[in-house]
Amino acid sequence: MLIAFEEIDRSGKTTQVEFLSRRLTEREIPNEILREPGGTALGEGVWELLLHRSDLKISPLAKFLLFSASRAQLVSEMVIPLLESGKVVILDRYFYSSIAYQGFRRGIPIQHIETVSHVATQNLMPDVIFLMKLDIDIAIKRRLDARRALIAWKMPKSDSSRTWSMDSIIVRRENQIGS
Amino acid sequence: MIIDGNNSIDEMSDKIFSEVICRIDKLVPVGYKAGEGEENRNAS
Repeated sequence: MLIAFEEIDRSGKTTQVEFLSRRLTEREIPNEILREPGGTALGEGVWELLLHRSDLKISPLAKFLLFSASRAQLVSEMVIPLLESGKVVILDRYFYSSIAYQGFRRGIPIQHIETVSHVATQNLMPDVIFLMKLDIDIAIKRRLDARRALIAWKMPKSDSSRTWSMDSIIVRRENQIGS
Repeated sequence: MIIDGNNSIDEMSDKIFSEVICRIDKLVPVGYKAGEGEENRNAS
């Protein structure tokens, strides 16, 4: 059985992926979590390229094709063998993310994305897709909360004035969005 | 299936888990053919 999770940021997808895996394991149902992008050596390489090679100019189409290459490898190397071994496979993102990010956001025709994605995934469709939806204001607030926590964590303990300054900037931003 | 992320973590988890278990229960074993009855199920 193939399960896919999709979301807008900060709606708790990864938490739910882990909860589901744990609850299935408690029922002695073998399962495996796979995350996009990544999950294979090739996928990790693609992700490293996209994250850290800011010197490269990568068009939206090229980025989509890189994601698709990573996805093709994940499906053939991991997903299909795991399904054939009888495991439940839980995907933390699938090609629907490309429709959202490279399609609706970056303007690549949705039909092109679907066609390439079907080839890349060998037409392997999930048995169920969970789309985590969240009010946009709450999503922004959670993102800001996470960033504030990260800033506070990174800041030297003695530098309380800077912590306070960064904190106030974020609180002001929160107030702007009416939280 | 759309999951409302505004709900509590536990509520979301319960909904997801029950949906998955329901679907797993509906799955038939590989090789099972409709109409071959419970014997085939038990043998697999």
